[in-house]
Amino acid sequence: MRKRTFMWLVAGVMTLAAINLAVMVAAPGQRPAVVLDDFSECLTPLAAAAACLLTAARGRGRTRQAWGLIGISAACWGLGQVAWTYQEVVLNLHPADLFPSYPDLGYLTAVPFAFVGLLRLPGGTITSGARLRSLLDGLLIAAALLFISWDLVLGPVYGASSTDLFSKAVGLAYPMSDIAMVTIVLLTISRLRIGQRLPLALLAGGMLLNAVGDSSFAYLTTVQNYGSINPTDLGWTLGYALIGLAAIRASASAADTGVAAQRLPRWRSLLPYWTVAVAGIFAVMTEIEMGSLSRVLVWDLLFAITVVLIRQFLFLRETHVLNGQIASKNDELDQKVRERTHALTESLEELHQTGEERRQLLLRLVTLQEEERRRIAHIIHDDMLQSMIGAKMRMFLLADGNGANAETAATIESAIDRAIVRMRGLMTDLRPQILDLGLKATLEQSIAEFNEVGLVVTLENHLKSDPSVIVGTTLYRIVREALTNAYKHAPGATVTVTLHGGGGDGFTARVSDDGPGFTPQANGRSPQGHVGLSAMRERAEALGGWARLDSAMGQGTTVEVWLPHQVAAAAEVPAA
Amino acid sequence: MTVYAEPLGVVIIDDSEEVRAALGLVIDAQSDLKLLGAASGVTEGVGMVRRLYPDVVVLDVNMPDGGGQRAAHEMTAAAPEVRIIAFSAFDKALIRKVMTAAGAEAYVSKSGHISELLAAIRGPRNPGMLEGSPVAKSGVPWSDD
Repeated sequence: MRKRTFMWLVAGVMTLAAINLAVMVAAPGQRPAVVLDDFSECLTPLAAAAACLLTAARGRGRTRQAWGLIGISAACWGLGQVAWTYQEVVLNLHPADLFPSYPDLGYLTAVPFAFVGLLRLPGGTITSGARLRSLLDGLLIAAALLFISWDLVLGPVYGASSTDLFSKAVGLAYPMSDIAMVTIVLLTISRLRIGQRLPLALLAGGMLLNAVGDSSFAYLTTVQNYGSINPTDLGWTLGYALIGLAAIRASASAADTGVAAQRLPRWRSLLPYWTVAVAGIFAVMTEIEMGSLSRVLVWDLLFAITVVLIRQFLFLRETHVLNGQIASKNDELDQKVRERTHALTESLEELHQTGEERRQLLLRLVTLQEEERRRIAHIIHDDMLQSMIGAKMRMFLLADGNGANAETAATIESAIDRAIVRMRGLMTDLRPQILDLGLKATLEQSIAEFNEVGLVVTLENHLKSDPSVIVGTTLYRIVREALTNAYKHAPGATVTVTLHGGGGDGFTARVSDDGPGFTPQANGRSPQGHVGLSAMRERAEALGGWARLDSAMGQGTTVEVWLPHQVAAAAEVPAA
Repeated sequence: MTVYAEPLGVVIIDDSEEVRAALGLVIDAQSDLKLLGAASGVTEGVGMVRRLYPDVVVLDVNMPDGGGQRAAHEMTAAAPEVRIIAFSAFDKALIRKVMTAAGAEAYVSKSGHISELLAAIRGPRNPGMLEGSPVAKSGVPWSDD
């Protein structure tokens, strides 16, 4: 059902109630008012019954049962009212003679159906503890309502001695069933987790209005003051109208009338206690007004107190059990944390050991690599280079002798020269002259080469002593790699190479340029083209040091490396 | 080329056989130079200098048993008049410095043109090729090349 249609229905119900009230006020006790009142009291419950049964037909499971039972209840009440209307309007009997009679059968039959129907409304997850709590809450509400009702309705009805026993029983049945109904309505409000609040509110409102109508009817009948036309009659008309609207509203979303897993608002879970509080206020007022409480009220109060105590005891026990569970869960958690911490520590140790083994392997690799490079450099120097130089000298002889061969000799000689230059370059790469010149001088040579090709490099040397061969070679290679990268990626930049250390706290070399820089990747990998960065890091780590790169777009690039003064458990490269 | 009556006596000290042979041929081909001998090591070379009194020694820098530096020291001690031409595969300012400090008159790179070496051998008669830079007695650690 669309919201607009629903609003039209609400407006219709309001109009009907307004007309009813207007006629009642304009012509109290007169026939048109009586007829209008009776007919609207027939029409509304029967329409509500139809709406409830339709909703039941569309629903499933507990929703279907609940609305079906509420529908039957409304139908019973409507039929009772039809009987009443027939007697009052057609047979023209006086209301005072109509009590107790057939209509009461309809009215009272409606109560158990509505009661069970409300109970069948789908609720949240019901545990045995929750069911017991619901029962106690119900008893508490009932005790409080009994107290209020005894003060207002039940007491006077019970005390009225003018009627026979049957009339008295039927008269008492109304307020008693009202207590039951209001109890179940309040319980429903405090317990149920209905997805849509509107149907619940409408239903509860309708039931409460009915109860008010019933109770006032019983009271007025008992005190012989009921005359078919009474403003409280509007309670029934409006009550059933609300129930009908609730059914329509619930039907509009029959699928989700069920459970919504939301937390119950606190005011709703405290509802039973509120009722007790109201009863308490009544008790105080009665005490002040009458000077004493009747025995029924005293027992009722004692009963309510007992229920509250039991409820409290249950609550404490549950809290205790829950606390115990939390404590044991905490213990379990603690144990798990301890186990995990232990496992982590072991893993860390393993990791550390693996890291140390890896470092040793890398160191061995670096050492072997340097040895191999040295060996190749020696071969080039002692054998190939000398042969080339000898050949070049012989070419000189050849060119010196014969003019015709001079040109060929010059060509061969320049080819030999190129080979010599390449061999010398290769030797410098393979074997930096750390052993011969020291780190500073070797770097100066390297820097001179870079200066020649256009990279402006300056060296700031703050070394207190020269590093060992392996440390010096590694520093040299990393600095050279960084300079090569600067040459490739920051052409024309100004580069500063700074050397520190040698005082026992290791050696630091920093190469920073004022080039364009780049965004280093989060995984620590080299960006495209900067192939040497991970190699730098591995070389430094092999010696127990570190190397890092710092760069950002427009911020230049800085490579920094630190190596320890002494290489732990290292196979030093033997001097050649 | 001017021909002088008395050719300059030259001794070659170089551990590379190929260089000794080729350089020997080049020197022999010069009418104003005379190859007195060629040694492959420092000890042999110093002995040869003591025995033959050459005018000029062409001394390889990179050699075993102490290298050219030691050889230059010993030869200047044994025969102060002998002129030493350091001859190296590397053209490094530092090596140049060390060798001149050890008593070498000139420093010539092996990878340069052979005429540079010949000019250095002829030295005093061909002053344009002389390596005459002042010598600083630096204590730069240096083992071999």
